Amino acid sequence: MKKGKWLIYFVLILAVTVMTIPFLWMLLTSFKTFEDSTKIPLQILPEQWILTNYTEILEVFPIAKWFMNSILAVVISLLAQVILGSLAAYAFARLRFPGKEFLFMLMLSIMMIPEQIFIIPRYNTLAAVGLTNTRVALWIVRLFSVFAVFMMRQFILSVPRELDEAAMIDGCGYFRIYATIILPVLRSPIVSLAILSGLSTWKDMMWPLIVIRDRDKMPVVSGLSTLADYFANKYPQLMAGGVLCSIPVIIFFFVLQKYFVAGIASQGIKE
Amino acid sequence: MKKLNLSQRRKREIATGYLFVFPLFLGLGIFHFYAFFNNIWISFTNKKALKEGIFVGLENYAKVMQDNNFWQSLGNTVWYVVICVPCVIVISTILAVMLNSQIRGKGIFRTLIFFPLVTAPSAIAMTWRWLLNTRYGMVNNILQSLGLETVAWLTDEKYTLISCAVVIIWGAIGYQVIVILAGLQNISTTYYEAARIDGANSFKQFFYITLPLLTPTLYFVLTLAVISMFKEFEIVYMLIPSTTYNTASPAIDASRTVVRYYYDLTFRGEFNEGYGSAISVCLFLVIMVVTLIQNKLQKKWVFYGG
Repeated sequence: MKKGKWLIYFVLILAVTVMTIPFLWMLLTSFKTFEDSTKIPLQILPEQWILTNYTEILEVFPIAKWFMNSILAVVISLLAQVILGSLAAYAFARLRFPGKEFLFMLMLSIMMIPEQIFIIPRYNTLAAVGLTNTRVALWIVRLFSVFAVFMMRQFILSVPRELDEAAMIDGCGYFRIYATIILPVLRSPIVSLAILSGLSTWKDMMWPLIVIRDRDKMPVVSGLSTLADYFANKYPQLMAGGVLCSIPVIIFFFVLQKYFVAGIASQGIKE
Repeated sequence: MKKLNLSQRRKREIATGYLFVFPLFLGLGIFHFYAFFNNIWISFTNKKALKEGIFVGLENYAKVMQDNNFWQSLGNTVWYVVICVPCVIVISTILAVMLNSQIRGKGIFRTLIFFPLVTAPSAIAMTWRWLLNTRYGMVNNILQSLGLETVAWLTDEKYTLISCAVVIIWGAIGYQVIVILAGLQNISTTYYEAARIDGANSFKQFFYITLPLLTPTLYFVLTLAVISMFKEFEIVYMLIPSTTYNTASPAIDASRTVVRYYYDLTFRGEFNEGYGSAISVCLFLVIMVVTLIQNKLQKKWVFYGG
């Protein structure tokens, strides 16, 4: 083998080690007793493998509920982003109506604004209608995505117009064209959107911390952060919580890796 | 469907256009446009804890300008950009180029490097808090066995920023490797074939072909990384946590970003909406300026030929 190849393997193995050791350490610590975890010098494997860290966590914390809340928020917000977004994307790409350019620019200007600027008024709006500290608050602010419209509009522009013009001549109405011609070809941007928007909803922590008080109603990410308050420095328990909250997602990622990669990559490629 | 004459059809097109964008704009109207202007209005009032406020002019902004904690958090944020962005870009580019070369086990390497990408930030921060624990943490124990001095990574205010920066870099690499890999795969192989015929070695190929043709992707990665650094919250918030009664300590002050300061002050404090919104408007202005500078610089070094 050439010398260059050895260098590549060396660097990649180093990188992989640095990326995975925290996960391995989390996993190993989660099976240790508190005494095992605090031995000096470090003890790599648990002296006795225990599961009580896990049972203790599951007794106090509704982790299954957190997953339900997160999944619900991801699915509902994604569905709305796809439906509302594709309708608007179709209108912006294909229909002519007065004020279209203005509305489009107005919409794009939102993409420049950091999320934080919306938070206080959003909180007040939800408080006024009694929706703070409900699961609805987790997704209602995420239903309307400018990014989704932008992405799907770009894609529709690359679809030949002849398709919908032919349908128009056959007497199809606009909604029929949208539903039978446009929506089906949007499959690949929708998959990308599912990954990107799903990841961002899943990982968002600040909004759930602000708007949800009850432990039962939290999503995984903010729920997990309350664990740290509860267990303080009992790291075996904390690590067990970390494992419970990340393993399902890692498996999910493992299975759908192809789509994750395609979705994230699609962001960086400009037509 | 009955035949429509031209003007009827045109009317229908216009009506459909408005109908299709209406639901989206209704939502954007409430949660974005109204929220944006309302937030600006609140920043000129002394509104607090959901009660009505009265107009106080620029008072909140004057307070922000004199707020040392705000300036420190802005300074920290700039430090994160300066430390993390170059590291993330260089490391991700190297890894992506290597993953793009002809080697065995590519799939496994790739998967393992992408791991942190899907992990909840709170799980990442918790794990690193454990690794960086002063007495029992793996990092200090390794340092000790190598005969080096140990450091209080998460409590000594000299080190908290750098600890956070390392974890942020660690967590950001997977995502950027994917974006850069896609950029690499877009480069046509004919360039490399031509270069090989001319006898260019792999280093020359990297600097004369890969890098110039990768600049649009790298520019995108740069913008993404800079903006996300300005919005950094989760890692610093979880790694150097505040307690219920105490949202300030030297260790926190030395590491927190503007967004965390905004959060700590507004939502862990007395919900001083006026002051909080003034800070968020300042953050918005800073990000605007940064974006404008980036767009100016883009023309200087991004190569769009080829």
